Amino acid sequence: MVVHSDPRAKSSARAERPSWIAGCCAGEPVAVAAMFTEHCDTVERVISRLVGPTPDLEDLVQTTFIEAMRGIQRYRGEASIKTWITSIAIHVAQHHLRSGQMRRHAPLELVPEARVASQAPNPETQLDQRRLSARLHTMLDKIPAPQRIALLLFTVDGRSVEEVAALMGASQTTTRSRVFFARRALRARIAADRDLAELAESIMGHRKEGTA
Amino acid sequence: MSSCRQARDAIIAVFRQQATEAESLHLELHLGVCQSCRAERAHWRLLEQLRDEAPQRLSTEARERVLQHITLRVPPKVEALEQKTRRFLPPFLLTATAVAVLVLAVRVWKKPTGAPIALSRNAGAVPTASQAAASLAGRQDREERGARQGREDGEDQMIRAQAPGTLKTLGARIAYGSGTSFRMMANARRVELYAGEVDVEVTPGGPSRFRVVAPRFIVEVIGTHFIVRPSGVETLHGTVRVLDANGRELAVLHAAEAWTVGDPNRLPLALVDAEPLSATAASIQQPAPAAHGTESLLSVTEHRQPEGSPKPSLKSRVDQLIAEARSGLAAGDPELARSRIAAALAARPTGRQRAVAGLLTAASFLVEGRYEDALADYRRTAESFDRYPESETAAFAIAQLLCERATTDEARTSLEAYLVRYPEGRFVQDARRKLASLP
Repeated sequence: MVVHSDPRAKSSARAERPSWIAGCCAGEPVAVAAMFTEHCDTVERVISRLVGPTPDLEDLVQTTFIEAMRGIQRYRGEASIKTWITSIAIHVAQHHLRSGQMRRHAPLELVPEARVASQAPNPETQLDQRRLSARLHTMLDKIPAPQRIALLLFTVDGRSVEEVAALMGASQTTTRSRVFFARRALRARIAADRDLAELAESIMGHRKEGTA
Repeated sequence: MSSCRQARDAIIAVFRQQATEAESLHLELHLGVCQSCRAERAHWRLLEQLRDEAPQRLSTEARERVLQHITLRVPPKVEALEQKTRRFLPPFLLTATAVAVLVLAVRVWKKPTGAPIALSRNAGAVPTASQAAASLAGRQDREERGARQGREDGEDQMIRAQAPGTLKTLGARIAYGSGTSFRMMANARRVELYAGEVDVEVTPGGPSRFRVVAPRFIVEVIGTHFIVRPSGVETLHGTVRVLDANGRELAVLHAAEAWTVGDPNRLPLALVDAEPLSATAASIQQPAPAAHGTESLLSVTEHRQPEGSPKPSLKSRVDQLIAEARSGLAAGDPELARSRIAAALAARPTGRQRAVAGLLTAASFLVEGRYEDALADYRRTAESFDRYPESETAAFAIAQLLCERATTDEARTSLEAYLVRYPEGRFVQDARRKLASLP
């Protein structure tokens, strides 16, 4: 996969080739641990964004790194190692979403600390936000996996169409159309859900109060 | 803002925090007069909830577990050595080819009986000298080459099969299909299955228990014949025990029973650090009744199936239809089975699925006593799907059917043909026994 269209970017990516890659190719545990430590946060974040709250996060992260280890010898340095691992994580997430083995609850140990911290305005708003989030994820579950992933990478993750296309191994036209159809499907589902509209209004109201 | 389309682009830019002040201002002006764009912005604001949500994180313990598992799954160093070797391949290509030809010549000289060089029919066509040379020169997978040669040197081997084949090791014979990926640890009498399926036949009386470690469970066995996939186990002969990663017994399967992973996420990953083989030896031959009372066992018991009952749909509609056909046959409804098979064949099945469909069709005719039709379908399957194990099954079924119908000459011819075609086949012993019993 070529992410950098600029040859200078390619050469800089090559120059940044981490020293542990050779170790990973040779199956050295220290090098594997270095790769894991460096990229675990990225993989967790990407999978969490794409799949939503799930108790399968551990398995998905593990699968991503195992796939990365299997394919490390094919890594040619055309993209940065972070981009390369991110694209593997995206494919793992896509495969998981397509497999239909989705589970929506998250075990307690996986609830992020930020959610249980006391920085949120009040418990009622927190509850509303969680309910809203859960509903949105349920709606996203009904959108085909490639469209959903393209939408989330483009909107929630803030990546450009070019980046999303490269990460998903699709053309830019396909990516644009995926984002478009995902948005349309999501909008239709949101419009049909009265409770969601009420929740949204409630949260917007709280946000305005908070900013005022 | 000249149009709603531009306004919607601006909404996205604002959402992604990439809009200029001018764009934001124009957008606000447009939203003041356009209700549909206001609704559009409201939808995007809902997505802000997802954007602002803190991503889920793994606990420190979970990270350590993952790292441990990854380290255990690191490909063997020998692959890296092989890659280094490839860089120097061109200068050594001629030498390697010469060595390969020499090795082949020695092997042929050592086996003057005329049997094709330790290759079963299942392993595909016998390689030519040039193919073998290319293989030895590194163009084919090193491990697969080891498997094709059926060596018994007891080394660990990583197999990534690009074609069906057979591997013989200490006290076991492992047949695998195309796309199967596994590691054979001959000294430990252990197979780690990563993808695909393995058909394992274990000779009784080995030095220790034979184990197949699938991603989510372990199969332990004494002397038997069984098929393992990442999704479950099917026992053809003997008894196997299914364990989880902690060595806890999930199921005991006798001949013609199957077990599948119901909810895979309820089982921990079964990696190479399962309990020692000797620890569970005593209970193999005396399977305990299903009285464990654990959640995991309950889940397993639900999915334990007798032969012929429908298997859960794994990949596609075709698999589902084939499972329904099996179910129909088990219920004594051959017409239903054939209707499902017809639907499966119309749904663009793979070659393997067509081979399975052929066997099921023949079986449906057998249920109705239509022996000639059954024979015709078995013959078609045996001839048309030479690449798949179903071809061997069909070939033996033909001989068996002819034996049962007391057509002695034809039965003898079929059995002899089977033995010639599959000298190391799954039914060789049965075929020899039947041949000896013919008048």
